Amino acid sequence: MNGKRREACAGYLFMTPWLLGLFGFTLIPMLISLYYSFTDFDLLTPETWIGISNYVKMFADKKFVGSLGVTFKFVFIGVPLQLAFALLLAVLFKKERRGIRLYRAAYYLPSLFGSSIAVAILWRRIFNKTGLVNQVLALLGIQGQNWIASPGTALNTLIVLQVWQFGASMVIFLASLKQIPTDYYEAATLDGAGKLRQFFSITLPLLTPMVFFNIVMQFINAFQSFTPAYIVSSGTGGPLNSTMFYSLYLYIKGFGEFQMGYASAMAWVLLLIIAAFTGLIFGTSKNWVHYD
Amino acid sequence: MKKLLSILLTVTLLISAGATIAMAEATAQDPVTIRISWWGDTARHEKYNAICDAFQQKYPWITVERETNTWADYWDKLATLTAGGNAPDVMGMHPQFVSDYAGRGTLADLQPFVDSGVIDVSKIDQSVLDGGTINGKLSMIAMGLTVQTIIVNKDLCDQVGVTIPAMGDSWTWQQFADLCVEFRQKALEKGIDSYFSNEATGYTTFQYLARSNGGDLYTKEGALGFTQADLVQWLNYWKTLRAQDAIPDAATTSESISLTMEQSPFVTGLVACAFIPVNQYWQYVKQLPDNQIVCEFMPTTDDGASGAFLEGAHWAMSANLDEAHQNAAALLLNFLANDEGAWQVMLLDQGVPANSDMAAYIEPLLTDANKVAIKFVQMVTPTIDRAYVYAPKGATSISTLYTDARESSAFETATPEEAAATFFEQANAVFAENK
Amino acid sequence: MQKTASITIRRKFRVGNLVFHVLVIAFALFMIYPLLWMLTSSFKPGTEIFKSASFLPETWTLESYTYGWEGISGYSFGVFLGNSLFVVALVMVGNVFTCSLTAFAFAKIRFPLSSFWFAIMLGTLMLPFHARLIPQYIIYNDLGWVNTYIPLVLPKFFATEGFFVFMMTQYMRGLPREMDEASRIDGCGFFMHYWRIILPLTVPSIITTCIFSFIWTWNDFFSQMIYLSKIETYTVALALRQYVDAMGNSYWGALFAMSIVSLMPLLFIFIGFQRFLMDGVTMGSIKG
Repeated sequence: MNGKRREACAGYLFMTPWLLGLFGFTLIPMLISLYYSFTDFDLLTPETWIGISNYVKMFADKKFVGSLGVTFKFVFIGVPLQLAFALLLAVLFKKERRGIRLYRAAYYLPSLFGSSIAVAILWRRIFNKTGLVNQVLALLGIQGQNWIASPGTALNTLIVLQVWQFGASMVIFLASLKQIPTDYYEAATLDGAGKLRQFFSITLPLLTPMVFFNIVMQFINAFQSFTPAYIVSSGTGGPLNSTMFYSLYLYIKGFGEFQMGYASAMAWVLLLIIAAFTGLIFGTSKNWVHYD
Repeated sequence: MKKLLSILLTVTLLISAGATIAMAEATAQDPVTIRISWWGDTARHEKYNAICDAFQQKYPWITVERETNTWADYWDKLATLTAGGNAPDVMGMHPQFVSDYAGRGTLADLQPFVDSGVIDVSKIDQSVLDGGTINGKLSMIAMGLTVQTIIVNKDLCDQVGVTIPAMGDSWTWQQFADLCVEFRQKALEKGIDSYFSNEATGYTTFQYLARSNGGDLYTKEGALGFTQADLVQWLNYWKTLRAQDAIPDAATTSESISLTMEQSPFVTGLVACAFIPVNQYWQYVKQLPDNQIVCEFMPTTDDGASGAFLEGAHWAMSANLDEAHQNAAALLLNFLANDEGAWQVMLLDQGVPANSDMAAYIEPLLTDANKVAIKFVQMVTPTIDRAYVYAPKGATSISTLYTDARESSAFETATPEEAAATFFEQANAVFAENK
Repeated sequence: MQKTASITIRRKFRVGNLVFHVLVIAFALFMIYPLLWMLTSSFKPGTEIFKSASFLPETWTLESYTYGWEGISGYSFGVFLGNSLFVVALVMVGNVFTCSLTAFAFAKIRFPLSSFWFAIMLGTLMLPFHARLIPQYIIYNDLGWVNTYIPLVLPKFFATEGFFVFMMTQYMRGLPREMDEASRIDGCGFFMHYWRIILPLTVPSIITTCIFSFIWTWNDFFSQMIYLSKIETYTVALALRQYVDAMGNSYWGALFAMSIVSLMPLLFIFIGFQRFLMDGVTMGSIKG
């Protein structure tokens, strides 16, 4: 056996669990849902083939278009803010010093919650008419509105929530900051490079694989955001559909209105959208992601 | 001859004894396990657990596996389980969803069990049974009956200085609106930042107006049962009140929809009244132990037409069962509907028992708050002129559209006329698709 | 000359430190205010939680904790904690081993179709959960796995969590290449290379995988709600859901109290594992 073939064999050997999982657990349900997307399926009676009708219907569905808009806004504002914040704090918290473990834990705490019911209450305590934000604004003599329940601002409170729960990205950044050899910095300090320059010339380039990972994953996840909608509207997408996320609408269609065929078609359209954006990020990655 | 007779007698006796034994064996057959699922809070879980235990004691060969969830989770899970062919044998069912399930043949027809005497419905009013009949099939048995009420915090009203009708006095939507305006004025004068009422957001509350105008939410043929003018009138009603600052702003109303009882504007004192099913009355009383809370009729039209109707949760049986499970499930349904042991645990948790004997049986066991509730149901029942029409398939989409119409009017992105027009256009499209 | 310089540097350093701590603490308070509110609310009597505006309880009580700990239908909250820990432990083990194996293949081995499989792996992350749920349920139901922990645990032993595969792949790709070459010259087999060299170097990302597996599984309620029906098998996430019902009485006090209790394992895991996350292996020390 030559080296190349040996390497290929080894590759597939290492891949075996994943391949088994793919064909055993992941792929079949996915393909079935693809099949559903071409059927009229109401969950309770057998499905009937209707071709591409579900896909055609989508374009005339105003709520569908609206949910796309909501999701895009959430993704393209929420994710960059969250990542910037996570990176900043990861760099700040990198160095071991007194109390640092507690600080990290405190800043990570919000992310422990996920989108539990408790968070919904807490968010209301902050952003409703008598909430914390308005109490602070009142001190400045400004009368605030009901941020969480107004169609114009409800989504923004969820973007804040997304940023607030930046912990996961921060931990990933922290883990890879530790990967950077300390002698790089020592050398740079000897050369007289300032902290800021060190960040841009050493930290950031070496961090790019993880920045890349975080961008891709946060995009993929944010596009599928579902639970945050429960915080504002207990899952109705209100007020005035202003928090009607794509995945929430899909869920309402599938489970609330028994149109699983349509919901499946929506799911595959979302997959294509996410895949297109991910492809775009991958395409550009050669220019800015540096593997040592 | 005598001998022959005695022989005959003995034989008959023997046969019948054998038959009895055989029958006993037939009923005390092989052990069977059935599954039941319901929605509710943890207190209700305890109640149903006790009821299932009592049932198992009475029918020792049946084991009852219990599945419980909160309201929203319950319906997600039921849809998934049914799609997977794994629906529970006995399940809680609600008028809001029954057409979706019964209309797709997932619920068993209970009539054969009524005919064979396993499920006794002799003490249940025919109109209630009709309420459980979908497309001519008896698909569900009422757990309990309830009606809508407006609960009013009398102490808050006294403090503000407005008078409210006594329980059992009817009032009109106009009087209700006047009270909203008067209450707010007087409250502000006294420095109390409260309103009389929040906007009634529920589709069921609008159903009262639709019915008192002679219609309903739906027709029997599965179309909209009210006119565009009805909806415009309703949206305008609240819009006018809001313009006068007689009800809270649109955002506050919208926020209140996703609040649980403990956080609701009524409990926190922002408003003095709330629209609820009367079987929940005691829960609100418990939340405001220091206040006197009165149950009021739902308002009527100016000429006194009431939209009242009985509603409530039900039990249904899966259509997907073999005979042994069917029989056990039917016994359980009967036990839930007619057994004193079950009702002395259940009391008014799901409403007034549909079985009139059971309603009388539990009355002395009730707390004062629940006695009020049962009395209220008895006061409303005579004003009911017709049963309400079940939601057709696709009704969930319609109630979503209603929310859209209501919110676009409340947040003033559309006039009531525009909102109603959009609603009708889209609702008719939904019906066309579900035909 | 040198001495004074070092003194000024040190003083500057101290002032900078102080500013750092003050800012970080102030902002931390803002970050965790909601949690503090939940903590104080868990000591309020049930009826006071939403009616009183005050942050601290007017009367302190442990009733929420005792009520919450009693659990549901005769099963104490400890049972649910135990169930969650059981599921989480298995998920953690499964994710760490199988995801790191797959990541190693993607990052360090050249084999045909590897970028194709990588794209497929990412693709499996892009289909919304609710669209997969029904087919998945039908399959698991046919296999008789419903009402067991199998659907929640077994797939994790087959690297189905693409997130972790991708994360570890990226991490391994970021490792200095000299290490590979060194071991290859040593004639290390692929498995030895993975086990002896790569795994120890990826400790921080393994810890990250552990932390996230723990937290996400701990909090994930939807699949647990669908697949688990018997109360005795309930997990913490499911049990907490039972306290709040839109149609009936909710037990906010118990919800808050038990949320606090169930946050404890998460917090311990995070603080405990941080040591490995941060002090784990630094490249500099290995090189040096």
